[in-house]
Amino acid sequence: MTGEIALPNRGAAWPRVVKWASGLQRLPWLAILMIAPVLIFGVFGPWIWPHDPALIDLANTKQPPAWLDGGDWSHLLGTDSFGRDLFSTLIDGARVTLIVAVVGTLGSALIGVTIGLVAGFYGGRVDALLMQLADVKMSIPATLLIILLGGAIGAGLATIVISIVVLFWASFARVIRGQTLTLRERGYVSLARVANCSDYWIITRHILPNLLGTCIVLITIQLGRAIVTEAGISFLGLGVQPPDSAWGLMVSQGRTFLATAWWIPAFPGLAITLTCLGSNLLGDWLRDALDARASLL
Amino acid sequence: MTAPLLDVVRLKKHYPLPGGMFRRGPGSVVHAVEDVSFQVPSGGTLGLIGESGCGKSTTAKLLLRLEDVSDGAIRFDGTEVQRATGPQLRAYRRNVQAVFQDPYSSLSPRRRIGDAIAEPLIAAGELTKEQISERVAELLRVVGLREDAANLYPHEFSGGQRQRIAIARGIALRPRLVILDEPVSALDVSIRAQILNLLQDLQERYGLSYLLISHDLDIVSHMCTDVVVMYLGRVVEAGSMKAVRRSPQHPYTKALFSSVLPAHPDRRPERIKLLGPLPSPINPPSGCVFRTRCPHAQAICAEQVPASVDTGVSRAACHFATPAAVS
Repeated sequence: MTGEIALPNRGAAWPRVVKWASGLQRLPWLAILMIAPVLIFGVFGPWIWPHDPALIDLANTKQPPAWLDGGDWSHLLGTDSFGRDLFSTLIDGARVTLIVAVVGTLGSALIGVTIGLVAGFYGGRVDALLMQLADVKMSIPATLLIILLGGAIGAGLATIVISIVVLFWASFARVIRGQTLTLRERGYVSLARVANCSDYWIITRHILPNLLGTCIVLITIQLGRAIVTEAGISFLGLGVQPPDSAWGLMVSQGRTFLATAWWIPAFPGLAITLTCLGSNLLGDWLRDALDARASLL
Repeated sequence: MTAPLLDVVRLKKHYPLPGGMFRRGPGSVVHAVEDVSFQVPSGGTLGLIGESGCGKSTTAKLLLRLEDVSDGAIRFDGTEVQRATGPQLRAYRRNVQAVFQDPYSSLSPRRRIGDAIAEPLIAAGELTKEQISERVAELLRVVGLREDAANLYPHEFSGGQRQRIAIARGIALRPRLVILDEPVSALDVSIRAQILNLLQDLQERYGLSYLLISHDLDIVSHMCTDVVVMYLGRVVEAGSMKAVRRSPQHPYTKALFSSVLPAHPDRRPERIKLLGPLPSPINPPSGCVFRTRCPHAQAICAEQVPASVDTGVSRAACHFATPAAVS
């Protein structure tokens, strides 16, 4: 037999610490900076907030932020029309945002990826049926669907999560189906069939791992959409009910004071915008990072 | 002659085109493979040649049962397998493996080389884990790679190395027939000879039979004992490699071989140039499909489908092929 063929050498010239540090430098710090507060506030809210977010103080209503005239450093972002500390309600609202965004997005990802995978892999009538279903879903206006669901289930956290799952699964299904269609035609899938591998084996060993990058990117982008949708549902009054707080609800309740106390709707609005932007930036970064080479994951 | 290992009889593959308001009317069909018959001798190598789009790769897919056969028969070792399902299909695929053209698509980017080679062995379920990893190490050695390559990912290898891995996987089950679909077309010329020699070594060592699909006449001449020439989904000529190369009988085969550069520049045969485009397999020409580009076409060529004639050299499907003198 011929001599051995040289194998590639995995470059190990740099010490691990240096590699680790240079890796850190490439992280999307701006996006992390925008998302981190939601995570921290959402999880550790009760230990962080300076005041009880439900504490009504009618002597101190519509107090402006600390750096404006009439502001007070005990209420960093001012107070709302009931005298509640705006910063504390914002922290409290992060919990709803976090739960809704994570549970809603993961739920829709689970359903959407399964449907897209089955449709793309098996094709034929199954595919036609499932994609018709996705088309039907996409032809119904989102707002209408939310109002219908809200009417059927009643307002609350569950409504938001279910609405997001119902609204988002089709976007996952469509993209994943397309990807599965191309992956199905790859040589290694044909070869796996020739090697007598079962469909289950092919899906779990060949299709799913190669969809992982797409899934992660889709999830981060949909997280942003989920946050905005949550705000929309809360704004419509179909989400969480007072005295619980959610950012969308705060914008909704504060909009009447736009002329007199702009900070009441402005800060929750800003929080929604930044979190959404951060998650989109993270999605973009992940797409590039995962696209380049398989080595990152 | 002993019974062939693989006997393909009048194999057909038609792809119906979807009808619709803005499409061609219903009934349009792509005749990808039409009445293709050939035999792969046990322990031998059959070459399948033809230009792009002539149905070579579709034939490979049909033989691997990756596409459904429209009509005709595939007999493997005497058993019909064109409609086999379940255990029968499994048993057939146990003996027939493949190596594809693109070594970049043959290996999943997220699976280690060792796992890729072990996959057919795991699916067969005949060996224990230890036996499988031993076999993988042995296979890597046999194709000229180091055993510790098993832990690496495909992107850490060159095209030639990947093709060696694909070959190791192809022979993992010790199949009797390996379908080589353009195994070296994607490789650099300098690597091709190495891979072809490896394939020949493996053939001797394990008594493999090959069906070599290629558009490269030199490779087919070098590797094959017999050859089948396809044009527009049909077999135009079939015979022993040596004889067909020495005196091709069908005008298409003549044109094909006249396009090969000779070893000596002064001994260049007259080049036969084919005019016009390859006809569409949706509306193949009537009669002989080659008539639109054939320098010898006559009226009869448009009217009758030429039968395959035994010319003494080969079997050629041409009205003007001279039959061998009946002895």
